[in-house]
Formats: sequence, structure tokens, C-alpha cells
Amino acid sequence: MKEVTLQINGKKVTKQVEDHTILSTFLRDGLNLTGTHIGCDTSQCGACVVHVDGKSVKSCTVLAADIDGSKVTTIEGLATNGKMHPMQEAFKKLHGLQCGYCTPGMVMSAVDLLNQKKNPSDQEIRDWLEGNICRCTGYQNIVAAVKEASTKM
Amino acid sequence: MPSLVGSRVERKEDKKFLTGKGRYTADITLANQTYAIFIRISSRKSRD
Repeated sequence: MKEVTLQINGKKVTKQVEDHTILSTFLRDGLNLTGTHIGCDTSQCGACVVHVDGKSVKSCTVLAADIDGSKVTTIEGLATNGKMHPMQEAFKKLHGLQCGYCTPGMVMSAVDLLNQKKNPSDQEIRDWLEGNICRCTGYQNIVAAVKEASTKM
Repeated sequence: MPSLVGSRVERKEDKKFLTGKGRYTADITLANQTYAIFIRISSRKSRD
């Protein structure tokens, strides 16, 4: 067991965790932040993507104890004061989601892309989102949404 | 409503999906919830 302190969406959280506690479990089961989803057991699907210290990571592949002291942003923490982030607005406007299951991870992943590179090309967006699988949309409107968001960020 | 035909309409459910408030079955925990696990036989002749 280890005592872990994390800043989750701006709020400091301290909890005792087993050494093997995975970050996605910590968020979903420990804090009831169920916006982060589990879609596989092979670290392939990306439905679990969150930001740790500003960078996108697959939370299913991170041990909570390993990131003691870090800042974590989940999909629940992206909107500020009830106002959606430009990426969320763009996905809504351009139908970048259908069932919505991949969406939190897709949005978090795309936000990191735009934080690192302004105005990425279609190919750069598709390459970046290779680690995020969507079974519904065929990615067309996801790419369009990321391009739209890049004009607003 | 002829004016809606062909016009761009946003979905009502998107906001909750985009903000992590979707309630997929794995997100729901009820009191005294039970879980089902499927154990499949590995071959026709198997006795497991």
C-alpha cells in the first residue's frame, strides 16, 4: 500500500492505494470519475486517455503510485465553469461522435495534439490519433472536428 | 416542419458524452450488484 497524492482536475486528492492500482481504476472506482473508459485490455484502444502533467497518456497503462504528486486532467475537467472546451464544442458541432464511448479518450488525445502543434494536417491528425480506436464514425468527422478546434485554440 | 429538412441539427445527447457524463453499463454501480462471468468450454470433448 502506498499513500498517493494527485491533483485531479484541480482538486487535491490523497488516498491509500495498492501498488498495483492502475490509474484508470483509481479514477473510475476510487473517485467515480467514470468519463474515462476502458475499451480493451491491451493498451490499444485509447478510450482511457487522460492528461498527466499536461501530456496525454493511456491511464490503463499507468500505475497510480508511479505518478504520485502529478496533476491529472480527465474529460470531466476539460470544461471550465460549465463552458465546454473548444475541442468539445467542435466535436458536438461536427458530429465527431456517435455512441460516445471512444470520445473522452479521443478528445483528450486531440487536445494534447493541438497543445503541441498548431494547425496539424489531416494526416498528422490521423497519425496522432492512431492510438484511439473508434468503431462508429469512420474517423471522418473526428478529423474535421480536430481541424475546426485548431482554428479556435 | 419543412424548415428543418436539410438543416444542420446538433444532437441532444452529445454534451453528456463529451463531458464524461455518459452512463454506460460499466459506469453504473447499484447496491448489492452482482456480476456474470462466462466460462467457455475449450473443446467439444472437454470436461472442463
